[in-house]
Amino acid sequence: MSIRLKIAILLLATIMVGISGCERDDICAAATPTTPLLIIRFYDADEPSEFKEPIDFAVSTALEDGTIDTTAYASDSIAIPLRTQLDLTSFNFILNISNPVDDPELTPPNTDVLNISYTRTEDYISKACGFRITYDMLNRQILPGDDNDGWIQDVIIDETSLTEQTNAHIRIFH
Amino acid sequence: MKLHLQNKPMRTYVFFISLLILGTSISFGQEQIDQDTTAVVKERYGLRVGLDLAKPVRSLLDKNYQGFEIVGDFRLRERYYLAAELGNEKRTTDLPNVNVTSNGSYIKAGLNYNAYNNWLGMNNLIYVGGRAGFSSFKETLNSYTIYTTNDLFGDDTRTDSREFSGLSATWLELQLGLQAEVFNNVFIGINVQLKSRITESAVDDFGLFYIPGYGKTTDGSKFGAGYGYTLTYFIPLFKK
Repeated sequence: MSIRLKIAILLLATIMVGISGCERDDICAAATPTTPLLIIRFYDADEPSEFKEPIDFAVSTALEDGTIDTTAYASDSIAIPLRTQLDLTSFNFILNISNPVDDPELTPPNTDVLNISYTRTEDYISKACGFRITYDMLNRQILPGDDNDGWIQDVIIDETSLTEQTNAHIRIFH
Repeated sequence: MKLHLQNKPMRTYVFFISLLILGTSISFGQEQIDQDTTAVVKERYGLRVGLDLAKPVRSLLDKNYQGFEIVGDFRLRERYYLAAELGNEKRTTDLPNVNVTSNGSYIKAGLNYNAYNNWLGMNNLIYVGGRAGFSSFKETLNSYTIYTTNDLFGDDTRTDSREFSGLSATWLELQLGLQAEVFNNVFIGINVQLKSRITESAVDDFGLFYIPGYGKTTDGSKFGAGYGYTLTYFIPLFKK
């Protein structure tokens, strides 16, 4: 075998090893920035620099199929998804969710409605992850809900454009 | 030894055997002939043309693939061959979040160097080749998913088809292969191709998935690989 052929085979083997070391194209790595979640931080309305966790708190939202999803949170910071197919996502923020409505001993559930409106931009990520939506011109509307008793004092939007999810985008005072 | 030389299938058989016992058997056989024969036998020069069989076979087996390729080479000097491939491919890349069809034509041209020391009268090749490749193609985004880490609002898969046309790419290729004469002037060959992209179109807010002639592209890598199974016919033109 000629020396040239030996060199070629060696080169071939080296490149083959290089190719096999490449990342796979069909698994979206968890660290990849995809469609960002909306991060909300809760503050004390009386002490605006202090975090305040809403007690016995849940977020409920109407889904496409007509059902309502209710998710409980026990933190002063929550991350919730926005709709990727509509320019508006409506949430019910409920305090004292586990209390019965008709028990005079306990504080009944208190629902406030938070409507988040925005514009959407489609953005290509990679072969593995496909596309994502980024949001811009975030705006909000707070309604006291059917109980006509608002527990949210104020909502401040700090980031009107939603492209990442490392910091809080919205502050809620209650 | 002379008996073997007159028997073509046997010679081909010996050629493959010699591949397995590379090196020693080749040089041993060569020395024997040099001693036996003194008559000058002229080598045949000409054009070899044919098809890459791997592509039509894959077209039958894989519903996401259609392709064909014409291959050819022309013997320039004792060990050097001018070689080229011309083809068309249509490939649908079906990933969990994206489905894209790439469709286009390509040409590859370069040289093959025959590193094999043939026995007298044989025309087999074990070659190392270099190619420059050019591909002109388009991509059609058939469907895609908006990727979310929270699936509360369900799967958002969109099917509004989008076309990215006028795309092109160039690459350099290292080819390693062999060609064996199985009948008079009929050759079968196998080869592996290693490729490195040199230029490629930047697709506006999208990526390249498959480049006809080059093959699948991987995010973050300039390298690709391919293979071929060729069936070719040698048209002798002159001897020298």
